[in-house]
Amino acid sequence: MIKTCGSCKRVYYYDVAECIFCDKELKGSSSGSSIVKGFTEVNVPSLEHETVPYNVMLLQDNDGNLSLRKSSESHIIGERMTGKEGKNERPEKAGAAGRIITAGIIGTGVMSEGIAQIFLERGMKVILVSRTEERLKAAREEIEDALLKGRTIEQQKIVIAGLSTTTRYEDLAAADIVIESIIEDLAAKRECFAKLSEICSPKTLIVTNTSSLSITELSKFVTRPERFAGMHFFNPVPKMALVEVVKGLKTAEDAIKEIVSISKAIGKTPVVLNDTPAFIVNRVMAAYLNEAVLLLEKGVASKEDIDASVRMGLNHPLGPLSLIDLIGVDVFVEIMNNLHRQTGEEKYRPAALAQELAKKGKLGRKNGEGFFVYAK
Amino acid sequence: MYITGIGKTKFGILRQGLPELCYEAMQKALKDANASIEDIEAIFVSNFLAGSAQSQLHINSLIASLLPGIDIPIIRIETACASSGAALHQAIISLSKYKNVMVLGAEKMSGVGMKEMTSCIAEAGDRMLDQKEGVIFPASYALIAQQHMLRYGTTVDDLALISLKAHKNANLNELAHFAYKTVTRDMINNSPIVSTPLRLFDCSPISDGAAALIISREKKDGRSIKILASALRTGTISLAQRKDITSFPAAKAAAEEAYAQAGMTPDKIDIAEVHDCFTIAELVAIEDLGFCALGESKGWIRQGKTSLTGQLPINTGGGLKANGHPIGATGASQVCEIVTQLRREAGARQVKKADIGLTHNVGGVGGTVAVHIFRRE
Repeated sequence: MIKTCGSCKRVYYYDVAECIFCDKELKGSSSGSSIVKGFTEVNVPSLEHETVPYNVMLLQDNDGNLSLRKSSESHIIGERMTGKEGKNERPEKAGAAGRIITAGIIGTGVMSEGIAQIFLERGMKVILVSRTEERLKAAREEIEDALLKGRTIEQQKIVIAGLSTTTRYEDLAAADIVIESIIEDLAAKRECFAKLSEICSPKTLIVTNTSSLSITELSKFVTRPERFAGMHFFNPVPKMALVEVVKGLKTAEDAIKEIVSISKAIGKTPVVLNDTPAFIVNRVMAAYLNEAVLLLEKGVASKEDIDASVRMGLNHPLGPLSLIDLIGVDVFVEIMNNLHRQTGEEKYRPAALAQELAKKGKLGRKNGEGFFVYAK
Repeated sequence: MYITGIGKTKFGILRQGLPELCYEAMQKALKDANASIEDIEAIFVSNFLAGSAQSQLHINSLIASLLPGIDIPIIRIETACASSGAALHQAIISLSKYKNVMVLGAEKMSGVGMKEMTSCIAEAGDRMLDQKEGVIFPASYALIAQQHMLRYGTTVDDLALISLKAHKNANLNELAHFAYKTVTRDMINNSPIVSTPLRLFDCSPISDGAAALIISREKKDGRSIKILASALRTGTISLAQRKDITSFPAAKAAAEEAYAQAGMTPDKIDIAEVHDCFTIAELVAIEDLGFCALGESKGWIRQGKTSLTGQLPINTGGGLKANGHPIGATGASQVCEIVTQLRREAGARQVKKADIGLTHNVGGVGGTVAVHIFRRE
C-alpha cells in the first residue's frame, strides 16, 4: 500500500488516512506497472523464509516509488511487471504462464480452505465450489480470518478480492486448473469429474487432492486423462511446503510441467512421482506407523517408550502411537487395509492390535481413547 | 565533554553470557578511567536482541543487579545496530545534569540457531515491507551493492579489498573477533554467496561482546579524549521507502551536523571507524561522510587511502567485518578504537597522525545514524 499526499506529495507506506504535515486526505497510488530496478538471490534461510534460494526484487513504479518483493523466479533489470505495487499480495508473474491463474477448488474442508488461501496470497484468482451456500459462507469466513493474520484489513481486502464462491460447476468453465478436494468416495469423485469434463475448456488442468485413490483409475472418469493428475497437498496447507504431483498412466508431460510450475508459483515445493498406492509420504508413514504397533504387540517396549524413542531419536514432534490416535485408529486401519489390498503385500496388513482397538471402538483422540487415554 | 575511560571485552564466540560480558566491559572501563562505580551517576545501556534471542528484556535492571546496592538511573537504548551510538548521544546530552555517566553496549548472539538469529536481526526491518518479503539484511545491502555497481562502476573486487583490509587490521587487534585468522584473496573469492553479489566475506560475523565508555563533563587527565560533536539522525526503516538506495540521507545529515558542531570539514578527520556491517556499507559511508564525492569511494579503496598508512585510515580495529559486530556493543566499540588511536595506545596498528577521529554507527539500512567526532588534547 502506497499513499501519497495530494498537497505536499509525501509518500506513506502505511494504512493512514491523512498527511500529518498538511492534514489532507491521502490517496492510494493507482496500480500501474513497475520496473525491476534490481534483484538479489538470497541463499540464507530464516524462520519465515526457509526455502532458499529465493529472489528479492527492487521495483520502481511510475511515480518513482520503490518496493521490495520476494519472488521464486529470477528477473532481469528493466523487466516490466504489471499490477499493484508494494505488497506481496499480488505478484503478477504466476509460474511459467506469466499471468494470474484462476483456480477452481471443489470442496469446503480444511484442505480446500488452505489451498484457496495460498493461491489468494500469491495473487491468484480462486473460485470455490460447494453444494450449499451455507458451507461456502462458512468457508469464506475461515479464509478471511486466515488472511487477516499479519495484514491490515485494507491489505486483507485486496487479497480476498480474488475469491469468488459458487454452487454452480458452470462457473469453472474458464479456470486454468480445477483442484478436486472432496470426500474420498469413488462415486462422488466420478460424478464430480464427469461434470468437470463436460464444462471445462480442453486447456483446463483437472487435478485431484486424493490421498488414497489411484490417479490412473480416477483418470477414467475424465474425458481428457492427459490433462489429469494428482496434486496432493499436506495439512495444514499454508504451512506444509510439499506437494506430491502424481502422474497417472495417461498424464501428459506438459500437464506435469504446468502443475509443477503452478506449485512453485504458490510457494510450494513439488515432487513428481508415478502413480502408486498412497504415493510417497503416506506410503512411508503407513509402514512406519504399522511397525510401531507391531513392536508394541511383541512387547518390545511400552507404548510410552516407543513414542519417546521416535520423538527424541528421530526428532519427530509426535510419537507414532500418539500420531495414530490423532489420525484415528479406524482411519489408520482403513489406510493399511487399502494399501494391503492395492499392493497385495503382507507387510501392509494392519497390525492386529490396531484392528482390535478399532473393533472395540477405541478410535483415538476423537473419542477419548486409542493407544492412550485422553482427558475429555 | 570527554571520554575518560574505555573498556572492551574480546569479541567473538564467547563463553560468557550477557551479564558477564556487561560486567567485564564496565569493570575494564572503570579501571581504564581510574574511577569507581560510585562516581557514575547514570548508565545508558544499549542492546538490540536479547528480547528476541534470549527472552531477556528489562536490561537496565539487569545491569543494576550486577552492581549490588547501586540505584542510579539506568536506561536501555535500542536503535538496532546503532544502539550504542544512540546511547552515547543520550549520555552526552545527560552531562548537563550529571558529571560522569557510562555507556554500556552489549550483545550475546552465539548459541542461537542461524535461522533464528537471521530472523532476529531482520526484526530491524519493517515487518510488512521487509520481513514478509524475505528482505533479510544481507539482501538489503546486496541490493544497495548492485545499485552502487550499476551507477558508479564499483566492482566485487572493490568489496574484496575492503574485506582484506579489515582482516589485516584485525590481525593486529587481539580483541578482534578474527584476530587469529589470516584471510587471503582466494578465501574471499571462493567463499559462498550469501545474497548476490555479496559473499560470506562481505558480511560481518555473528559476535558476542561488550564495550563500555565513561563520559565525563570535565577533563580528567592526559588520556582524556575530547568529544567535539555528537549527532543523531533518523531515516526510514525500509529501503523501499526511499527514492535512492545508494546513500543514506540520515548519515549525510548526521555527518553535516557533526562537522558543524566541531567547526570543521571532512578533510580534517585523521581516522574514522565506519559502520561496515557489509563491505558495501563502508563505501557508502565514505561517501555519506563527505570524504569523497558520491560514487568515488572505489578509487579510495583501490589506492589504499584507507589503509593503516593511508591518507585516512578507516576501521583500524578491523571494523564490523573483522573486529566483529555484537550489535548493541558496536557503536561503543568504535569509540574504543578511536580513543585508543588518539591516545597513541594502539600498538602495532597505531596510526601515525591521529589527532581527530570520527565514528559512524548505523542502525538497519540507515534508519538510525550516529556520528561522533573526537579530538586528542
